[in-house]
Amino acid sequence: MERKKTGFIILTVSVILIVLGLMAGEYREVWNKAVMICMECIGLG
Amino acid sequence: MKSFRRRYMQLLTAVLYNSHISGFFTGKIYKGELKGVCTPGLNCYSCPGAIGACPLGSLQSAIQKSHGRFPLYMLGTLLLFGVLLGRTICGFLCPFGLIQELLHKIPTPKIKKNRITRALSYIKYVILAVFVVLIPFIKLTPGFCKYICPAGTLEAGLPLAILNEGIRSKLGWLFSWKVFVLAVCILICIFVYRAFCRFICPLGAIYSFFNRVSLFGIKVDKDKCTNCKTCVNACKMDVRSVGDRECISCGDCRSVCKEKAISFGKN
Repeated sequence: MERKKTGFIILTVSVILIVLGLMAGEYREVWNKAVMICMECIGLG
Repeated sequence: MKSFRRRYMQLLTAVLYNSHISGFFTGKIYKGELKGVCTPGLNCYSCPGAIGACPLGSLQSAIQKSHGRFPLYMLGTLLLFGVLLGRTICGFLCPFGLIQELLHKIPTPKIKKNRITRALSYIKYVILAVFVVLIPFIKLTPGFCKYICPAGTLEAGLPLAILNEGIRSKLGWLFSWKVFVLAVCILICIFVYRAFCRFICPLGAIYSFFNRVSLFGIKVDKDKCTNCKTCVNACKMDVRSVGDRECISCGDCRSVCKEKAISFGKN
């Protein structure tokens, strides 16, 4: 029961963090990085 | 869950994560709106087929740019994935996990789990702390992506080097190093089951924190369990008990449990 309660608390916190992050424009930051070829990832540094 | 269903899920996931098929012909990566959504499993966002963002790459990038503030969206995303599924993601929703399992099917002598491999399983937490958190924070570069990630080399570096002449002309020592790391990883995975997952993967390290509290995953009926440890002995991961931080919910233990105490579903 404790674990289930902990799980639901974490679930709630995660949703709140995502919403706050979206409001702060962080989705666009992730998108900006993801749509450019990551030079570090492909070994160009 | 039967192994063919899990394999089917892994294949479907790998295809879905990389469904921007035209990218494999043009050498151009997907730039649609969906690219801001992270895939739960490890999948390089510079893969020409990738339609989502890599959670590990995005986390490092967010830490780089955070300047001391919490990267809320990325933390929330990882918490969400972790609390919903924990390392079930490793077992079902990770293309690189699938690749490792397929490599392990090559018929060679195998190195079974032991006390040494259990000790080695702690390395991934050091890699998480140093390469995913510290290096991006201090050196402002994605440490894991740049120096280690074999998934990035396999899914992005090699295809783009083949398809894109501009990229090919710029390759240097770092690319050679990453190809070497990939080659070593592939070689080891032939002999050691899921070696990257067990010893290196920082994403697996993150999700392992949630295994005991995840809402879906493998569970043991304590009323039926006789503590015979047949499940632990049958498991190829470095578990001490079913559902602990090393468990990827593959379900191999279900078929050997004589008491039918192990099931997969809501915790």
